[in-house]
Amino acid sequence: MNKIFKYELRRLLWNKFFIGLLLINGLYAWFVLTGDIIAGVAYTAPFSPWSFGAYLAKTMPITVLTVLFLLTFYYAKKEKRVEVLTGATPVNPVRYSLVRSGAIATAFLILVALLLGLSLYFYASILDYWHVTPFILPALLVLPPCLIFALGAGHLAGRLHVGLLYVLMLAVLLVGFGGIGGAFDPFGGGYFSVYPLSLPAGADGDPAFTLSAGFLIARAVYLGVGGGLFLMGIGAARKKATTA
Amino acid sequence: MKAFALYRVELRRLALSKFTWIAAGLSVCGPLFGYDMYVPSSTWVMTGKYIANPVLAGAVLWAVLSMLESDRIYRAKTDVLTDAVLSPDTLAASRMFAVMTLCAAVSLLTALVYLPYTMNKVGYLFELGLYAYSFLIVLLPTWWISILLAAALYQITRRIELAGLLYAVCVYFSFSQFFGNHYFTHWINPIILSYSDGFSNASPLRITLYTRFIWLAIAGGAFALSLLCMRRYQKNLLGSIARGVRKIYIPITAAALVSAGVFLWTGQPFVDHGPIEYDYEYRYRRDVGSSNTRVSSASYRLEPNVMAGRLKGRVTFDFTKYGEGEDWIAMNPGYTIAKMTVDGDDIPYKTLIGSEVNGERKTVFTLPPVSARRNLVVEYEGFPSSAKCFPLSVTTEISLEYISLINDGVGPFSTSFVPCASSTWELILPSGLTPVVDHVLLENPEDNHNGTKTWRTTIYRYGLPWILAADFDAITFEAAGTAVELIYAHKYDRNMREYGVSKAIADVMNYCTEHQGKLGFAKGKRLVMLQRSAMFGGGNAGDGWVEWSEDIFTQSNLSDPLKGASAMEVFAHEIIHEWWGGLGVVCGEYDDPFYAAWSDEGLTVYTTYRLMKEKYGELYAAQNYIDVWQAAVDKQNRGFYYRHPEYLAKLPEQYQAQLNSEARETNQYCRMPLMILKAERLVGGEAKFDEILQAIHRQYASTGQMFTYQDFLDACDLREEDVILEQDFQI
Ligand SMILES: [Zn+2]
Repeated sequence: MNKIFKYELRRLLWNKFFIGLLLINGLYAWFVLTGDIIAGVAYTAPFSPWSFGAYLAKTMPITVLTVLFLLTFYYAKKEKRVEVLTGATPVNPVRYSLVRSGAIATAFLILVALLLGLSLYFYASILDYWHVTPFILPALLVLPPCLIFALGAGHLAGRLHVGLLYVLMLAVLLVGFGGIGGAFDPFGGGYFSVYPLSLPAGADGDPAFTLSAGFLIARAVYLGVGGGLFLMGIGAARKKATTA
Repeated sequence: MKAFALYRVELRRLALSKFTWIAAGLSVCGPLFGYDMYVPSSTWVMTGKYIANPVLAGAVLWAVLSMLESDRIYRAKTDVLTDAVLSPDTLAASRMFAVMTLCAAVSLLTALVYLPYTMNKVGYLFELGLYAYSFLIVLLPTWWISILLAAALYQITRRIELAGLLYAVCVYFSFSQFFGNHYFTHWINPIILSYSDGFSNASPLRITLYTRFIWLAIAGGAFALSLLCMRRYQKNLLGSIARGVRKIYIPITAAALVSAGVFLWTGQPFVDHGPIEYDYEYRYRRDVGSSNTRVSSASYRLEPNVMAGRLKGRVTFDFTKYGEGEDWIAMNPGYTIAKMTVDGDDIPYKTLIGSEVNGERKTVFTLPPVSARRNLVVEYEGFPSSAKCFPLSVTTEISLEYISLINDGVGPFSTSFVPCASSTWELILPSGLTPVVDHVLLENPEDNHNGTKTWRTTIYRYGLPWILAADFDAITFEAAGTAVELIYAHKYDRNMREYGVSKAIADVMNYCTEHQGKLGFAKGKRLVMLQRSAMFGGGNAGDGWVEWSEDIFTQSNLSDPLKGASAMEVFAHEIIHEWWGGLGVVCGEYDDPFYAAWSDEGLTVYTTYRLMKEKYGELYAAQNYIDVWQAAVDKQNRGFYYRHPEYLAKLPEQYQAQLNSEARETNQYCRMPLMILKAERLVGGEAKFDEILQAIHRQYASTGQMFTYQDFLDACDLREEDVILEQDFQI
């Protein structure tokens, strides 16, 4: 199993697309940091949890696009033909599906590590700010729902038709850059930069990092729905295994 | 011959395809976006609104068509067949030329479709030449670039979704500020800040034509390069390239085109190569030390070449020099010195290439020590460039219809000389242009009977004058006891009369005279009001003159004063500066004249508010002035760097400078007017406050003495803490 994982990982990450996309992610993140986040969102410090959350939320559309793009590798036509073969070999399709999702999650983690590294470097080098703990909560609120939802929805779309993955990418672009705003913003960008405006200023002038119930529920919903879709995908793979 | 036959086949096939017609139809609709959704040229100039913006929209559609066309053959799985008969690169190139031909036809169609509407909207200012140039220079090449790039990306990747993604990334970078906002990175959205109705559009058209050539060369090169990547004999990318390079003319064409693009880019004459930030300290560095050279007279002769946009100039300095020492002159980096002589003999000089700062460049030389008067002649020639720190401001232009030469765009100057207090000027201009030098309309030219006229004048001040030339008209009228001379582009004559501009000017002047005192000029002096090209933007005021960008006087602005409140404000604002600023009362602080919250702007903005209140009522004035000031001040108070200046100091300099200048703007244009309003209420209302302002005006106007914030408080009999807004604000 470990061998297959390594193989999948290598295939996914060691190619010009992933390296190119990694570069685009990094460039874009730096662009967001030095262009937007440096001013701080909603009059808060650039290193407030609000600004950090907004940073992640602004970079997530590109990262999610990358994840969806990687998923197309699995659902492209050629791949389908290989699937017929792998389906015939003794590898359990459920485990195989999990392995592939694990490989994609690893890719996501590498991207996230790049984003976090860039932001910490930015805060330390430009603003001489060295703390990490205030960023944990916003990161937990933004990242896992984005990953799980992208994986769940992506697998579902890819299974139905590979073209749907591109439709999904278009939707991500529209939602990510058009912006929904409010608590249900899938990436949270609209929320982090607007909600603090309604809060009273704290001791240091920035509003405390207190979140509305609506936002927490929205995050849980995205996580739950994404997880549900993902499990459905696993279920479909199991069905295929038993019928095969 | 085979390629041409293929081209005809492709063209015919395209012309018969239903899909082509849908795409063409959509492209014709493209300009519609420019009327409303995509409006890069945002002034009130009519031709900007109805020509520039529409031709800037719509190039993306062509990329889609181009990619789908390139993909069509593979989708149909006919590539195996066609490859066997034809070379795929010949086919691709023929197809590309067919699509480009079609594109040209559609752009002609688009031009015809929008012609009646545009003529109707732009009205008597419409010019067919500008309309045609806009389509030929802006729209068609941009569509072509889009097509070439899209096809190249497709042929390299051979995956339509990936090519689409890469194309989107290219578009994104063209729109983003990532590489700074400058002309040459904008491949799909050429920067046209504004068109001009009354003056000339040579500047935006010249630079757009130039950037279109750059990008046509680069995109054409990319396309030729992509022909190498055409998959041959079912080989992969590398195998295909290996076979492709055998047709040696393809890589040679690709290399030639790309290097032509790069060469054009690096050699562009429009923006100089100085630092990207304005260097406020440069003056002090430059002017350090004084030379032993004393200039007793300076005479300039300027001969613009209006077709090429170049200037040929000659300046003669009569000088004496006591002692040794190096001398220097500085001028626009676009000019090169052709010759430098002392009493007719060439002298050595060195132009410091690469030393451009703030749009000027030094040339150093050493004059011989002489006690008798000698003359130094400098001859120069070139295309004036914009400073890299203000790349988008078109302050200098030489064209058939408009000449604007400002600061070092005029010619060489030097503070290493002890200068003379006057200089004589000789301008040789095409017959249709009338010059305005330092806001004085020149008269009595000498006709050279070769289509040019020679104008002569003397200016009585140090330094270089501002020289404008256009088809100017002038009307003179009296307002509030002062003679006003309004100089404007002949094309605006109808607007000036129809909308009673002189009456509107008189209204502002009467209001200020009545409430704040008589204008403080010396008797007999005129107040000159000058209309300038929209490229210059905004307004400006000084010693007995006011100038505005032309768009203040366009129909779309004049016909709806309520809608164009901000433009009316500029109009009134600049006139009011004759009371507060200019030759009126100069407000400021001695220690920090630039960043101080107390400046000419405070009382000028406050007076504009009072005027609008009288004109449009209390509610209007509250909504458009007081509320706007308050919102800006609240925003500033909440700002993180305003609350924590210790972090401001850590930021990169460029960002600090930006925040500081934002803060200065809020302080001068919003915070101070609010404080003045508070003072007005504290002293007992408008009537009482007007009395105080009148007394100030009587005492300070035309004295040249600085009227400080403390003077203002004293005049109102208030203390600093009375006027301060509730926040912990420090002047
Ligand atoms: Zn002003």
